[in-house]
Amino acid sequence: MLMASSVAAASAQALILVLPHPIRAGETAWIEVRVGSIRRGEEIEVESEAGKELGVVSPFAARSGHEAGIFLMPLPRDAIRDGRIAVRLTVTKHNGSPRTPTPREVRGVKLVVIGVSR
Amino acid sequence: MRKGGFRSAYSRRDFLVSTAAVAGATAVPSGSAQAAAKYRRYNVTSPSGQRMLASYAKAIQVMLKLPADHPQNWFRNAFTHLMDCPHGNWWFYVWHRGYLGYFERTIRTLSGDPSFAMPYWDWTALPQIPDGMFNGVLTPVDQAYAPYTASIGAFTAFIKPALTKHWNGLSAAQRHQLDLRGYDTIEKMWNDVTGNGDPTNQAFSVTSNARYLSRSNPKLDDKTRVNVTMFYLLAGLLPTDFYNGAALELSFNSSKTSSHNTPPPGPTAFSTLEGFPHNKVHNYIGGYGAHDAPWGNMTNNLSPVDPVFFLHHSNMDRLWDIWTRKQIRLRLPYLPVKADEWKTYSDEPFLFYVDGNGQYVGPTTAGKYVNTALFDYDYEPGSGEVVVGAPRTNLLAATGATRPIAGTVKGDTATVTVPRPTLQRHLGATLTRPLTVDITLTRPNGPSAPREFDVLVDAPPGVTHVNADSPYYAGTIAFFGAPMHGMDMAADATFAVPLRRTLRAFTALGAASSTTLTIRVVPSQGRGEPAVLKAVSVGTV
Repeated sequence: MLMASSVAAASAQALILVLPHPIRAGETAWIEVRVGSIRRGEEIEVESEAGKELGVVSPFAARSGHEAGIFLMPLPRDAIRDGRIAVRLTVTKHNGSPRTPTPREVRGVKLVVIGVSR
Repeated sequence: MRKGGFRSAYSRRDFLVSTAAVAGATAVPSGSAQAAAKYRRYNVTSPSGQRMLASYAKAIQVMLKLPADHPQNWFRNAFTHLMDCPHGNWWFYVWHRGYLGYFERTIRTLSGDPSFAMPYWDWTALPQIPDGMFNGVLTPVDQAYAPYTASIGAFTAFIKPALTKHWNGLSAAQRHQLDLRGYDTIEKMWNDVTGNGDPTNQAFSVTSNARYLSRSNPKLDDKTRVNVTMFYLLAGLLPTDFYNGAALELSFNSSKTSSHNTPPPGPTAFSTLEGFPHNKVHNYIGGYGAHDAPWGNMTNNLSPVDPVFFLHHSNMDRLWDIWTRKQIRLRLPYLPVKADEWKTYSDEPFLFYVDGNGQYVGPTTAGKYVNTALFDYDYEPGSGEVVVGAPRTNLLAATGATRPIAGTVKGDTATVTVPRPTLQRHLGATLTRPLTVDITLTRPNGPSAPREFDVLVDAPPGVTHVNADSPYYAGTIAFFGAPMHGMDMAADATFAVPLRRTLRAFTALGAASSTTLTIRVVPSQGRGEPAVLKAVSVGTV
């Protein structure tokens, strides 16, 4: 069974994603990040509010001007507290200051729960 | 060539039979014993893997010296990738399987080693460039490459005339594939080689910049290491569908597209293994994220100029093989299910491969490469193999990190109460991240102070010395070397000791909601000052 929950509330720094229901046995939570057009050399880091690195979106050989794509990131259970997770997305680049991505750069973030019931 | 072992030469026919079994028809055993594979791809860190590197280097030396118009010239081989490699679509794995398989045959021929098989780099187990890959021609910064890559001018003078002649002799079908890719002229393709004024788009790398990671700096950085963890690996192997356009989480492969050279109409949906470990390892080896453009070879589509490319893709192919064998064992589809999807997938033309004898393979299709039988190989087991033998459970959920549970410490003993579900996951699934006990203790001082301490779990009072096969023995903590007199060394140290599932403490859990473990740390030799515990906790690595 697949359930998804989009961003429920956002601050300039953190996105709060709410689980549709507590994770049940056999289910896994994922963050789906839709990355738009980012400059080559830039990456999107995703970390929990506690500062734990959850993964890095690093487009390989992406065509200039094209959307980088949709990336699916597994979530460890201990990153989820009280049915929600707060994440920070940061655009990083060598010698550049980390910064919050623009809406053009990150087109969407979604929390997905999937049950492996087969 | 190896003898013995097991090969699963799965095919579309096998798949159809096994799905009939899923539908309730006559059960057909899957993965039945077949002839052993002729070649084994070893972990590059193993002795056999290291021997393979010697043959690999020998062949690279030959390929570097071949003329530019020879299809097996080292750089011509890399151009096959630049011209035709799919990324971000469902042909990613199968195209690279064909490319790697024919390349392996080339190495076999040119090295004179008939047993050669491309070793794989298990970056989950070893998050750094493997030993040996900085030696001689196994790194593209070696001087052997300099005659060709000292400058873009030298590279162009060497390869472009021959490449142009090759281009002009391509078939209409091959030119169509290049058109789909956006290379309707060789100059369009050459713009991606030079960057055309944009160093971030430059596929060519000058010799000195060809690989960012070096012998003195071989390690993947912290961020790349996150992407290659076992957690990511297991997540990537979790999907139950070959392709699922509605639920990426269930899809082993990335987007279904109209051709392997065409992007999807909307955003590309990357499967976890391609989007995370594959991409980040490629990029970081070339220096993406570590310095400004231009980057090393591995960052762009001339990445096969760096010999580590093939060890990287051997590992990716190994993961596809693991996923396939997992699916077979669970009687789940491991190829496209619907007949029209299968036809679309398997009929996709791959037109640029070069065989081990230096001849162009000619028109071929993806369906030829879904099976490891064509190139007749299997893999030495590595990270992720656990999913093949695991029961039909969500290994990812089972192996999710457990928050450390702090214990209560008194002297050389601690008690830790562990919830039943945590213990059941530890005992029930074939976890690759077992429960461990983290023990922080103060090292005893004095020249005759014990340096080694045994960790006992639920040992009866009075038991102060055990053998390694004792049901109470979890492991031994060992301090290395004598305390340095006059030096200010840290007195406390923390050790992580995995908890064996066969410990007596786990054999009779009962129905209680939790279990309290008594952990005692005693001198290994049965005598000497007792340990002074500072902290104890139980969690997963």
